Amino acid sequence: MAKAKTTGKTVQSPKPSKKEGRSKVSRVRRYVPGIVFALLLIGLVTGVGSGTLCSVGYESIAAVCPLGALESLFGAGTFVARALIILVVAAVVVLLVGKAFCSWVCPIPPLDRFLSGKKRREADKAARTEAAQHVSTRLTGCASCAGCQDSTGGEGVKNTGASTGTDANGFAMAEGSSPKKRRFAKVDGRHVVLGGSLVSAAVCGFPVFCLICPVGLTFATAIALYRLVGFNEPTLDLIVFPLIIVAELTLLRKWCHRFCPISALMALLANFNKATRPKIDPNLCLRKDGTPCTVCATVCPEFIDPAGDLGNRALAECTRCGQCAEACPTDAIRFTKKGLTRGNR
Amino acid sequence: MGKKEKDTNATAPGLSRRSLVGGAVMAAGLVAFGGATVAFGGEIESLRPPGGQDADRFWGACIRCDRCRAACQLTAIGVEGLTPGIIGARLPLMDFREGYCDMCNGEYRCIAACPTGALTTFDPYVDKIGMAVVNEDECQLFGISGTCNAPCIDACTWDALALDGHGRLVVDEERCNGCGACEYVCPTSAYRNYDASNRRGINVEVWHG
Repeated sequence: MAKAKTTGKTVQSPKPSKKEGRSKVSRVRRYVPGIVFALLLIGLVTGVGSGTLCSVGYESIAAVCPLGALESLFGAGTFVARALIILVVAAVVVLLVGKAFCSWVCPIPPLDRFLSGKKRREADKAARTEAAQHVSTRLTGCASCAGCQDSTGGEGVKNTGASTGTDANGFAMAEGSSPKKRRFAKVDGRHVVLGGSLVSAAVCGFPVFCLICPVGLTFATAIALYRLVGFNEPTLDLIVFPLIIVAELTLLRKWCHRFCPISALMALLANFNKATRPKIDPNLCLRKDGTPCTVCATVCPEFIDPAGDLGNRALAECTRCGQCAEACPTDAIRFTKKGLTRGNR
Repeated sequence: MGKKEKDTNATAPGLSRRSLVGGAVMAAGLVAFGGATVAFGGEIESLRPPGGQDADRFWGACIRCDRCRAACQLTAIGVEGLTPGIIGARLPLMDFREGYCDMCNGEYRCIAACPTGALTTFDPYVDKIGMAVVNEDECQLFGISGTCNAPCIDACTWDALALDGHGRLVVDEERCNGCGACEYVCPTSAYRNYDASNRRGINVEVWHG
């Protein structure tokens, strides 16, 4: 997966205190999956051999889909040094930028938006608002317990039993001000699908999930089209592959959140990523004086709460899309330590 | 972990459980789907790129990423379609109507490009992509008026083709490694005597050693 590309781009932090400049990253990001797809298509047609997102690179230097690499290890049942090296590299990238692949490279979220009608987009928006209301409820709970933001010591001891990050005491804006317990991304349906992918590869002797992977099938459709035009090779693929993608994205709603095993795999490692997670400048965030602001949580497509990690999903699920930073009324969200005001780094 | 899930479930009812059930159905579906394709379709026998002749390894490791096909300079590698069964969809196969394998002068770009080890080493003097088989119905040298300048013999760089005492084409099975150059240049059913058999005078076929 074109991880290298994401690393370069997500690290760029928006310039502090520049209203016009700060939304740039998020705006540029919207076009990146399309640009990546177009570049790979150009590579396909011109014969550069850059490959697809399943494996992208030049000649013997290539990245490979970590799920595909795992499946092939399970499927063939043999030790392949190259696949293992690639897995380690992919793990390092996820540790650095978390699930940035999902919003910066993967063609499925834009395709999903394209396929969902107005009604569904509105339903998604309503779901986000509802999730933000949960955050708001948890916040008010926080405000009611007197001074939980200032005195960390006493409150921390009192609540350690229930301190899981979702409860009131888990809200700590300045990092390191309280010994906050790490909140892990929840194990959900995606992880079960991930397990199923590996088990099916081992049992059936071939990577079964690759057959229905929407990312792979998007490229397979493009390749089938290319074979039709370039080699006069009309195939059923051209009809069946898009049908499978459409079925997955429309019948299995919220594919990325509920089913995608690649997302599950990345989420497991993203638990241990901290460097590029959204960070809050506590001097700027409106929550510093108790305002239950949930603007960032309302715009977040991953149902997380960037400001306090009180969302329905953990901060580890962040895909670095930057929409929270764009929406923040006080420009308090940064993805690197660079933008934070002095003393809060 | 359990406590955390309980906490979030209290405020977002059903979300997590529904997701788990959906995931479990999907996972079971994957195993069933994989099992069914193996049980009913089985592995499809096609000519695979060099180094992909160990069927178990090839099927187990290939993630259908398209890199070997893209790496082939002579477009000898094609894509398996859905028609023989969904299990083979998107796998690479040798397409000797579009090109042939020149082993990249020993470079094997397809093997170098394969990220998962589905294509391993290939020795053109030992291993075989397939075996050239003369089709006596189509080969012009077997016709009543045998008129063919046999470009296949010139195209074969492995000295595996020759004419016997009667001017008929014979294949040296020791030397042939299934590179497909003969099939690629064979003029039969390319632009003469096309009888819709879709076969050439000489075709590379799956070889079981």
